Amino acid sequence: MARDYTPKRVKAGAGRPVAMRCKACAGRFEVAHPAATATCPDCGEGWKIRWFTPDSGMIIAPLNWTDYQVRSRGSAAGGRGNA
Amino acid sequence: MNKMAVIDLTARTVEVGGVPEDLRRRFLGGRGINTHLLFHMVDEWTDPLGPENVLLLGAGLLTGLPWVGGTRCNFTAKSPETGHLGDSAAGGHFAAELRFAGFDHLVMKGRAERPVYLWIHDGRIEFRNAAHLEPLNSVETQNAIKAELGDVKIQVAAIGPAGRRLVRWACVMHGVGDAWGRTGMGAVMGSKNLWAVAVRGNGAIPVADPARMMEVTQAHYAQITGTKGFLATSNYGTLIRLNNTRTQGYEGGFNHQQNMTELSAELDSDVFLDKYESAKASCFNCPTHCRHQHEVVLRDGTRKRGGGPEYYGVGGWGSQCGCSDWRTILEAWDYCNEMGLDTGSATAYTAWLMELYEKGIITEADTGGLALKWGDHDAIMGVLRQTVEGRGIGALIAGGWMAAARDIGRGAHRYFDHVKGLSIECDDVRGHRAQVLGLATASRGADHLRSRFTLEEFSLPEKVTEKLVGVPIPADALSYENKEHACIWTENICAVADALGMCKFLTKWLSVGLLGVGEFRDAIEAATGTAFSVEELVRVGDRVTNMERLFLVREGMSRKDDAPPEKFYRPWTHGPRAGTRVEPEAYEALLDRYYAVRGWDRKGIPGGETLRALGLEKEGAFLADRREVRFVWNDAGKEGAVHAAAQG
Amino acid sequence: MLRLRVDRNKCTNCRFCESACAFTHVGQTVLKDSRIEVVQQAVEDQSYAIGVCHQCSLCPPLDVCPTGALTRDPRTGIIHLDRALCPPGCRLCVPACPLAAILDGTAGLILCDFCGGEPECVKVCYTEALFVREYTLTPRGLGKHAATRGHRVAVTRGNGHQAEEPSAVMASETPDVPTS
Repeated sequence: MARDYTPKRVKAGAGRPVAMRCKACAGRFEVAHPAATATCPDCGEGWKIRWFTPDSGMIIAPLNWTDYQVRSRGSAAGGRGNA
Repeated sequence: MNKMAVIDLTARTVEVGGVPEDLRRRFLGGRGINTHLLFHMVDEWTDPLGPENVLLLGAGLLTGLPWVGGTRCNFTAKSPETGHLGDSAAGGHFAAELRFAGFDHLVMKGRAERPVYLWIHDGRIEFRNAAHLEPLNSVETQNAIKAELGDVKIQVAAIGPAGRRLVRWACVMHGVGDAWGRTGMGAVMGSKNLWAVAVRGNGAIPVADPARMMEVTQAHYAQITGTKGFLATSNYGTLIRLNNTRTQGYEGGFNHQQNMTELSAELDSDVFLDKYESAKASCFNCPTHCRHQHEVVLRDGTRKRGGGPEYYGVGGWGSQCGCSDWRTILEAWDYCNEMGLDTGSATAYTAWLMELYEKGIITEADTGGLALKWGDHDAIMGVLRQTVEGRGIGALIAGGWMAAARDIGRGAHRYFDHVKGLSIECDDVRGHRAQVLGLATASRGADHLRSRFTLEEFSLPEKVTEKLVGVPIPADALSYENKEHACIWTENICAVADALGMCKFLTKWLSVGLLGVGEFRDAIEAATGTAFSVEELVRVGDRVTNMERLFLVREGMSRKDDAPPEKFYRPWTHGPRAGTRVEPEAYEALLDRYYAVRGWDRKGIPGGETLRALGLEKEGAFLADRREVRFVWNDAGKEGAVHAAAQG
Repeated sequence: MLRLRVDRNKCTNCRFCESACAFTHVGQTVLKDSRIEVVQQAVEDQSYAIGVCHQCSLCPPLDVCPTGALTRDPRTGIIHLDRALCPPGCRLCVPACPLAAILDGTAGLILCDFCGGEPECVKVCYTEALFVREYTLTPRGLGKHAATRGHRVAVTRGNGHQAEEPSAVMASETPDVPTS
């Protein structure tokens, strides 16, 4: 699972939920520390989360790239906005 | 308007002029203009490490603009590693700052009497002593220059100890991980006693239509960030390639003796992201942040931070050298960056030596005591250290693999997989026919950044590729049909992107939804006010490719040099696609078709009509009495050069 | 009220914010005129110092400016720099700002003006290292002669969380405050 860089002296879950933007559909959702994964409520894609502090986290990768590639194969090797 | 400067390092003089409008129109900038200048300023007799070699630095036409992906510049010169076309591009922040300092193109000739670095700032070019930088590695050199010039925003391109010691495959470094990597441009700088270029400027790059530029940037930003290709690179960077090569069975292993290994599960890019990536970094104005930065506890317990890695090193030291230990790979990667060594050649040479050792062609007597066992940490680091320190087997390979193969003899040259003297990359693309052709015909030697049709790996439906390339390309990578068109399309889009200073990760080279020549056209018009049609831009790609081809032909190359490595004609031994190989007759037919579409004759020499259409008749004048140079390798490994008079 | 906030953990040094800001304000790629500055000290650094105005409720430059060139808009809380009132060579505000937000432009000092409500830098920041956060303040939090340091004010975000308003020296999203 993705690394959590939060210093040990800081209590897990100390921060406010962090707003994140789904990398597949750009929909917004919130994730609270120390969740290691999150699912976008709009498109259902799962993401791994990396934390720096309980207030600062970001999406680092899809849960499984190979699955993601297969699932999004339908639109000719691209996401939204393709030629 | 930004300038071109001719810098005579021997005389310590600088002449500044404009970039000729004619060159802009025909070659745009970056690699395009560099290619033209190189062709005219050196010839087939120029010694790559001599003062007559010319080092060209060219920023792209759109570099530094508030656009998406205008980040790159090219170092171009005659290559000390391959002996012919040397050219390398890199991103980061150097190229943009060079343009802010007022210069788009530098022409560096001669050799400085004592080590110097160039300090280029706000329209001025100064020579500064560099001898005191001798003990520093490439990272320390950059920091030292920033400190002594007193501005933390200075950007530096520097060679490390490898370049200073004229290792023929030394590279030029910027930051901790941006490299003008291949073809030994670092050795050219070292041979000129030019140890770094430092740039800083507050000048404006002129934009013809600012409002339109903003519109174009916003549209392209939205287009790019919505594609799956962007998702792949923004998460995994170049390591995404390992996902493809591993899951589809062509990662290549043990110096290309196998197409698959069991090692690679540990070398999965998700493992890197989870365990070793400590930050992501971007090049100038690029939202992709594909660059990794890492922190690793090495085998000896030291905690090391650095930039990268890129897939070339992970595949290269990983499956190709039989190593599955990230700590070793990252240590080797960082060492090459700090010393200023090309990781492409470093990995290829190491794997080659390991196979030679395995086959008993070299022993500890040749290697200065190193046991070059597959995957061994001390072997991998030992080869690199010996190269920089000039001892053992490193002293041999520092002069390039061709000289090393000559010295070793015993058929050593047969185990090195290359095209035109440049090693192939870590993966094994014999099952991707357009990529085989691209590898074999790329102008600086085996290369994935000039001619490789990346999209071949995605099995795109024909209606998609037809729209892109102009003819339907079979979804099956194993088919040879129409693959010449895919290769030519790739060559042209890469040449144009390199001339614009654009990162190919944001182009259709990587993914169908990203930017294509049509989008380039919009950006060029908004930025420069010059309207190019899509056809004219594609013709720039043709022109650059043909100019590079003329350069190679003048060096004595022809069809015989447009061949994939010998190994590709043998079948894969592992995995579900065992048996895959390049069929010689099918490849020769594909090459014939490629030449025909390009307007070259059956020996791969550009025809008169083709050159005329591109305005290259003057450059093609030498074809009337060209010489063909043949390097003959006999069983003793000795080489004889046979010069034959021109065939028709 | 909207404030610009920075999460340095997410910044990847693309400097698109600098380009967008400079281009928006002066129509050219002169990054010296960007009101936001992203600086990497040593080339091996993996994090970057980001200098930009956070519209802090406690604003030391506002207090030290001798001519009234710096003022705060009471409606929006945005600090405004009027260069016409700014004597060249004064520069008292520059070291006073703990976020190093007052920068040297080509024609004098420059300060983020929040782009009239929708900062361009935030729009181009892909990693959302730059973002905008909504705060409400009691009247005592405003004005040049603000009340004592560290006073509590109510802070709301869309989901109703309450948290302490950071003062200028305690901006929680920028834990390593760069010294000028």
